Amino acid sequence: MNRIRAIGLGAAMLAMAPAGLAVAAMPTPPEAAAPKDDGQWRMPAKNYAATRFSHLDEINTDTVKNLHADFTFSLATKAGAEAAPIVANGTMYVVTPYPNYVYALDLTKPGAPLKWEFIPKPAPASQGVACCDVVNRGVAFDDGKIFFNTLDDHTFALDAATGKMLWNAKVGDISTGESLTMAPLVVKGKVLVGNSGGEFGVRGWLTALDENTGKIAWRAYSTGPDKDVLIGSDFHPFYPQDRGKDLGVATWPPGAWKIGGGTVWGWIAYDPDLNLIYYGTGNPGPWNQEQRPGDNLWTTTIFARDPDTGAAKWAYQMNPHDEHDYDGVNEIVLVDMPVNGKMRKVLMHPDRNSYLYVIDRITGELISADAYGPLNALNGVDMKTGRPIVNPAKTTKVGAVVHDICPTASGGKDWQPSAFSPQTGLLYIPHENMCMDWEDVQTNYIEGTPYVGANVVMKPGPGGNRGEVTAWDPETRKPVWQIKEDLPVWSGALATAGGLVFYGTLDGWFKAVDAKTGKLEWQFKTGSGIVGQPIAFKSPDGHEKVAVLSGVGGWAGAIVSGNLNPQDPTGALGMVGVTKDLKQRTTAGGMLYVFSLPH
Amino acid sequence: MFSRFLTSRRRAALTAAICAMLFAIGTSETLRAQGTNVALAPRGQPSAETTLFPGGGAMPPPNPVAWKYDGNAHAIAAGKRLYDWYNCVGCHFHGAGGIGPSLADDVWIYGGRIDQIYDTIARGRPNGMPSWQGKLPENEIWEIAAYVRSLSAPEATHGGSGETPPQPSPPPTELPSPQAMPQTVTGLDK
Repeated sequence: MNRIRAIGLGAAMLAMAPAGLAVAAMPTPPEAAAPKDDGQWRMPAKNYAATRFSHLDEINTDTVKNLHADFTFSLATKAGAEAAPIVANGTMYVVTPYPNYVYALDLTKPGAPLKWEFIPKPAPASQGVACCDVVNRGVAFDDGKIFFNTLDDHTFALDAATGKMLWNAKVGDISTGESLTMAPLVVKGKVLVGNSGGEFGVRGWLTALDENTGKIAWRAYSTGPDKDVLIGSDFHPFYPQDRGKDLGVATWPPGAWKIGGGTVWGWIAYDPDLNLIYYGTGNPGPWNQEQRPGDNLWTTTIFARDPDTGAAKWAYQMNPHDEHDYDGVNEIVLVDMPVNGKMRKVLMHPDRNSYLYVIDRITGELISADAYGPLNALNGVDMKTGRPIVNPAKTTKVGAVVHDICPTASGGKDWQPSAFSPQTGLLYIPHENMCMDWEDVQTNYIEGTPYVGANVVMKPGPGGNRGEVTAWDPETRKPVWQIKEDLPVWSGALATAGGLVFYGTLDGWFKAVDAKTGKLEWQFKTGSGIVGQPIAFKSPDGHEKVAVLSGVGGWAGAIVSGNLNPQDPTGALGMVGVTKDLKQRTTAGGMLYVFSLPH
Repeated sequence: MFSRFLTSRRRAALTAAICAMLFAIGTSETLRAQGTNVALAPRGQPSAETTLFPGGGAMPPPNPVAWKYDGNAHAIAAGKRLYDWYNCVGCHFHGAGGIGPSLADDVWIYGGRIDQIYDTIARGRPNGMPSWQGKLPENEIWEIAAYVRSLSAPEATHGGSGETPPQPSPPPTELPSPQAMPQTVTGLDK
């Protein structure tokens, strides 16, 4: 079922809406992946289509001015609070950054008292293998259970009612540089978990664990021979360069694929109709590209896989032989939309490389790639081959500092997820506007230590503002509005049927803007910078509430959460150079904020 | 490219061999020093990481080997190269910190005396600092420690709000001056 709208609705918000009757099908998430909203929020992305859209509209452009803090809850942690609060059956679940406490709050009682807490006690040494603050991006609820990962490579299942541990599976090894920061996704009784450690010479993988036992059902590596990557007879990539035997070995120097990255620390989407999961793999390692000639498959690649077996159906590599740390792990949002007059099942993926990719999610064919952020590292994408056109002037090398490469290693955007509103048909992208200087240096692989080989210094992008929120129209392939933020926007976005988009800033403002125009409608200053993922839910009292974690950190906020020294701009992989002022603008400390209207 | 990696590994092995020879020299000097009435912490005894000593007492004096590295320009230069080689730079960068804490400020979680820094590198620390004991020759650890201390020297921190704890002065002994010590910078012609 497709809604309709007047053509040009988005642009019309800047002028008057045309009275024309021309109508077109609207981009709409597939119903099986975005079922009717029941007011709960069981997974960080809201649904398998990853829309982060709530159909609740009690809090809307008229009423939002009355929004007030309903209750708060201290996380008892100081690192970046990147998780989405999760709501199921009258309870809110929150996982903190390391040491990964899990709190269950009883939403049926005034002040939402603590129902239970779970303390998993991850190995403290795991903090030494987390590249970009000791974050965790959320729990997942399914079938009466809570699933989450700890930094030291364990996946836990808890009884959602009591907090009792059901199982604990060790899926990786910190001594090899592996860690876990991503939020699991549960699909058809399987808990999908991927590793972090792309800056430690880790070999990336996605693993499916049995929801009831924690036993590994399958593991798909991102590099190596086809049998490890789960590439078999069902694999039909759209582009010829991706066909061939053991490309995950052949596109590397001998043996380098074993320490070549391609970690899976971001987001996974799922289309129940096609029975396919979609996710992107991380950067190749080391960052020094001269140490790994070749396309480095299957790093920075979107995979479509069968969730039952893990078998790959297609793959598309965004950045063959990546030279700038452009991980492909960012969110993938599923919509059906008209392309040249024909409805297509597509996925939208705002990549680290500043391109918004629209890809046919049945075949893996690239439909379009348009820049949503600052970009000079690439000069476009060849639509025949699907390969990016690399700008030779921004190629990195040993023995030279290449200046003003856009975007930064942290990307046009990083992991911070977009929201899609089926009401407006727009994708709301929280992102960065930054560039960088980069020098490759020779680096040694020593297991369990960083494997990077680059000195990077980041700086503000064109215009001087370091962050942006862009409302993107996937049909016209253009932004409808853009908000400039002084600091990089490192929070997720939330869109609601109240015509609002919520996001937070690195200095702690939680904002609601008009989804059609970007006009600021409401804001609240929280206790610390916001790098979390806002959600909306229907409280047991029947009213809509909005929740977000405050607590600066993550890569962008590391200077504060890690108390880094601003005098060395190369700190935190170059992020210190562009966030020197952040210590003067916010302090560390995690806190949950929940907002509601007076009633 | 992997061959380059192997080459650097071989080079590291060579360095280690040469350093082992130098280490033997260093040991004999330590023994000489012990003959000069200096109260010495036995070799390998860890420094204290507190200023609280129940019933009285004070920080044990640093191993006299420390004095030949602390502030020694050659040791600092060698330490800087080793700091890059062994990927210290990947966590602490050029002093700002990132994965690990800043080394260019006046905050020292486990002590800022060179022997305390030595212990931190050698023994590791619980919140993510790996232990390099048995992986690196002792003189290389001292050199890295010398470089780490230099990152927070007043001129490096631009006279920040506090100060890095000064290294205690060597007691009056006949210890050779750092300049007279054998060069420890070898095999680092990267």
